[in-house]
Amino acid sequence: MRVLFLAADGTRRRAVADESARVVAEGGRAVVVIGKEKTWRDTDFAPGVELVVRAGLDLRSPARSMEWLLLFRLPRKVYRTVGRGPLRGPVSAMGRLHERVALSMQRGVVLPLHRRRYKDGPIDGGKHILHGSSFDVIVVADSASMPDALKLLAGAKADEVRPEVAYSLAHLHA
Amino acid sequence: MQAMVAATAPGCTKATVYHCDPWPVRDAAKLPAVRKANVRLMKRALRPVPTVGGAELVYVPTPITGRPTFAERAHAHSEALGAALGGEFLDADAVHAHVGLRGGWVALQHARPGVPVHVTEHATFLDQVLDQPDSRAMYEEVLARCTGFHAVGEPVREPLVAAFPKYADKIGLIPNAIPFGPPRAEPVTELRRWLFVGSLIERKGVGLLVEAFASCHAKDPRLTLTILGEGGMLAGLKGRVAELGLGDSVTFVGSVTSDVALRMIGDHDLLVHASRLETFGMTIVEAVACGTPVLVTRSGGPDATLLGVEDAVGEMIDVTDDPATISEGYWRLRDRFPAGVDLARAREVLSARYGFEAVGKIHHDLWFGEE
Repeated sequence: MRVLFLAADGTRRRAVADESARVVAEGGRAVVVIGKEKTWRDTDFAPGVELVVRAGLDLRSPARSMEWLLLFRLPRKVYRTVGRGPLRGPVSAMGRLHERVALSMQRGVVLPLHRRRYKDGPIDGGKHILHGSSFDVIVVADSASMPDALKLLAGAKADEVRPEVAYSLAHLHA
Repeated sequence: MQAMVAATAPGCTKATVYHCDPWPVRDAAKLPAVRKANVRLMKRALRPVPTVGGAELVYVPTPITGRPTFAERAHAHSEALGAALGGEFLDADAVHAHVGLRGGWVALQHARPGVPVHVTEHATFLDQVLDQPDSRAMYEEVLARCTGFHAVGEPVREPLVAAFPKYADKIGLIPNAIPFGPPRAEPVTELRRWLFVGSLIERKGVGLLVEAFASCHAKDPRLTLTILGEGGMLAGLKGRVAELGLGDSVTFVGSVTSDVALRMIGDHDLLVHASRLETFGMTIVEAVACGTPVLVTRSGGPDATLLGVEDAVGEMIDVTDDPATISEGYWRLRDRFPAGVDLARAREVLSARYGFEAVGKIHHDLWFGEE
């Protein structure tokens, strides 16, 4: 069973830790979306449970990945390849200049566009986590995650069987 | 509540439990959005699942923020239940509500007109409820409108009668249901392994218990104490245990499910309950049901619950601020154990009072009329 736990507020940490451990122990996949990492500092997750910080969700979206690739990762690779031997000094200087320009462009152009596109914040930008991974169940594990769950489910028809939605795995099956 | 359902659901054509559970919302500004989202999510997330006694359980999360009054909590529960019911009435011929406001008042809002609504009250904090003007007014409404109102012990009934004397005749007494499974396989032979089960709060007397244990342990270093539960006193208690040098003899287990708690009661030699006030004392009766002797304070509920079998179950002690009361009670019990107790007889007597069959019949007679 592939289970996505939405636990942004961390008010039911023990239940989330126990249930995600059970999913993994039974051979399933458990992904837990958490809010502030420090809230979970004293919570032990079972090995194999995947933790995703809510604020970082949009960084994993295809649009953000592409942006990083085009603005930073590809140019860095080019500068590293070209900047050898006598070219090292001037290419390195050019690379630093590029980073400054790319950073300004990201802040001034790309991020405003991104915010306009994903008005509802990280969860909206992170919808691919749900759609790309085909979870069987979404466990809405605290109050703050209720709006997040709705956003993730937006577009799904009310009679769609997957993913199932529950407040805990104990309240899942009849 | 689980025991109550297990006791009463058998014999009903259908029994449904609506469990409205408060879910805190950290950011109060987000409460309206969260509630709105919850209502929409319920369409996909609410489903009945099987529970004890053949009943079905519908779990209803209830977003709540800040420190609302008891009346405000009841309003939140009513709103959540209303959304869960989709605007329909509760589909039942009789409604039983657990506690006055979050159960009773909410049930009265959603029961079909003419359907009997019975309320049982268990709370130890009724003084706080009645101190709040809106909650007090709501409570009076419950007493006026419900079909029957039942307190689980005199410590619960007394403040209600004092607050609402005109409903004195309506406020009755009813026992809690206790599981009486098979007793422990091996009877207790010596009172060496102590167990505390309960919240780690001042009212439970757990601080005094630790001091008393230290004094007894000094005389018999084989003694151990297991503390099962959580609460605000946990850190302080751990510190005190370390200070007393009892780290190897005292174990803190944290909170566990009721099944595990029952199993642990059966694995220990003595349940020590040093509470200052108990409305009933379920854990104490559960211990006797397991065949485990008890050392328990006369803290209200247990005085009535154990009436007639006080010496048979173990030892009852006064509520004082002196840990010596507990340690002296322990040595008295130890001196007359095992010949001086009769757990089998106590179990039989208490089973007839609080066993599922007995309590189930009381409720069915109230809900559907005496057979």
